Amino acid sequence: MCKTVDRHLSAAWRISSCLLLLSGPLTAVCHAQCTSPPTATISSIAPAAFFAGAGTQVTIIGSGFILPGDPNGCSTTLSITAGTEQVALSNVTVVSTTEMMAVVSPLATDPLEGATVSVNNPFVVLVRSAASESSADSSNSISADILPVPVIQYNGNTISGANATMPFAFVGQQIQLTTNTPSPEALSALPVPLTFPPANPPPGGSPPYQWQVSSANIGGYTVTPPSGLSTSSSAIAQATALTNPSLTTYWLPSGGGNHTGPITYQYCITLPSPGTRCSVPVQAKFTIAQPTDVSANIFDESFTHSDYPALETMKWSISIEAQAVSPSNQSGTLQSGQYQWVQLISVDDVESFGAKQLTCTGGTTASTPALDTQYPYDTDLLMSDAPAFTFTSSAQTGMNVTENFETYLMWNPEVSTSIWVPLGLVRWSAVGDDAYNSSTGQYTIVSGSAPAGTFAVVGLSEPTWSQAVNGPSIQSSCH
Amino acid sequence: MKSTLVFALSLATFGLPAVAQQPPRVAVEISTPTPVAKAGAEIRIDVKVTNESDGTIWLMKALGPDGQAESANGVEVYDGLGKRLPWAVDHPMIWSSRKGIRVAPGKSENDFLILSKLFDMNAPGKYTVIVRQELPPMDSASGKDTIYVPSKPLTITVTE
Repeated sequence: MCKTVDRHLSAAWRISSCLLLLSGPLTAVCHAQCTSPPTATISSIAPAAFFAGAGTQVTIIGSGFILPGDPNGCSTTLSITAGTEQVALSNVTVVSTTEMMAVVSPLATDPLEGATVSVNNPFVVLVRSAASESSADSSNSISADILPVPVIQYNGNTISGANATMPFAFVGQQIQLTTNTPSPEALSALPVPLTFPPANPPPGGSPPYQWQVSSANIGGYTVTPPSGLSTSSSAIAQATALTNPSLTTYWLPSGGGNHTGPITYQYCITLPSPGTRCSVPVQAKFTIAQPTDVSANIFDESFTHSDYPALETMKWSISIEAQAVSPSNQSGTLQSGQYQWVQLISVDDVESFGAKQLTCTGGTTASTPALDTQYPYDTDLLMSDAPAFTFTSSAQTGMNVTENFETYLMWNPEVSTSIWVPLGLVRWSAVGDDAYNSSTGQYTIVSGSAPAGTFAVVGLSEPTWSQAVNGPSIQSSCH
Repeated sequence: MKSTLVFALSLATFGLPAVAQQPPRVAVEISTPTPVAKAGAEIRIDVKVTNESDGTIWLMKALGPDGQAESANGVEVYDGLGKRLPWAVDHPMIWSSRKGIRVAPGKSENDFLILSKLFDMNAPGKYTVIVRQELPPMDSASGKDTIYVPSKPLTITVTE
């Protein structure tokens, strides 16, 4: 059966154990040549979509697959082409005559595109009278899709992947990231039409788009009205939306200085089988700059009362002078930004005794504080406050006051789109109990203390509120 | 002269607030757009505080809109007989926050109060008004004591 073969042996040929004879015409002695294999057909591949830059284990179902070690020298080949590219395959295994397995590894640079999956049982056609032979096969093919590696872009620059540069941002600066995630229309137009999983998947499911932002962040911070005095003042902090194909976030201060903000992204698609599959996560890292060496000098803390003729006043005072070193931008230029103070009242309890009793609890709690009168409380790095509670001796015989304040030091980088972010927080109180002493005809302090403010800088959230306590001078009713 | 004498007597009778006295570093001027007002009409007192020191001073001011100058001022009203009027306010006056504001040397801070809300001035006659600007502890020499800087008396006539 051994015959002369063409010098240009096709790689597809499976001529095993040929012995070349060196005399006379080029002759090969072959043990077994596959001449009449069964026809290979392919009915399905699962999954039918492969993410670029990653290996996807696939299972191919069909017929006529030839197990290894076929005595006739036959075998089944698998190939996947995308355009002119042969997609890399590994671990190709014929499991049975109806099932093959392989790992498909499209290049990381592959775009969204269709692919053709082919199986082939090549065989040799022997031509007795000529010094050449030809081959033939009985292939069958099926379509599949290649999905691109996610790419994160910021200001038009790619910031994910091996050659990405680390972008720079200030805390409070708006970060808008986009991706190359295929559109639903593009997915549906693929050879194997694909869809995204539902935006709100069932428990354990994957949403179509998934971001992870590792450093402290926020999706938005809105104060209404943006400044001034309003009883309906409110401030809302929105969490960063992590399930959209794009991302808008703002970094919050974290730690004591410049730090790194990793962001990862992946997208998922729905296949008939085996269901939802997700791309590999890609990562981008920001260098985040923030004011450093933030501290506060709290001084002039006092608690006094004055028995001004016919008026009794309990009053407290506190002054806070903050220090901070503004960060520099990438070029080393100082980004001063702006500083301001925002003051909330978390406890607002006032009780007066006598002919005109008044008990106010203010409707505020530590978790639902109110804005103290106006936004912002003050600008710059220095602030002072002196709560005062005055009552007339003819109407009140005493007063209890407990007011807890949260005074935030805020910074805004003053770039094109930015928000105020918290740098520090001073918690302080105005607590006092004043009573009329009928024997002396004077008021005396029963108890009370200076504000005793404490300053904290770590792990702060944006100050939020849904009402303002506007202190009209005369309280005939509670706030 | 008579009114001045009456005022001096009044101070002697009622005494000054029991606070430490320091040399004034500010000038307190008061005025009214209605030196002659009809009974029951609103009487507004404008308060102008000028920093006459060489350095920046702090004043306290009720947070919010102007018109709450009583939050940082002692306000006294005397009738034609030199008798001090009681406060007509029978509710607590609460300023959860009085913000410290900085006044540079030579600069002034203006605010006002509605006197007719604080005192019953419906009876026709002459009234003498004096306002005492509170300086917070940080502005006093001792660093701890509150001082009050008085204005010059202002006469308001209420007619029927």
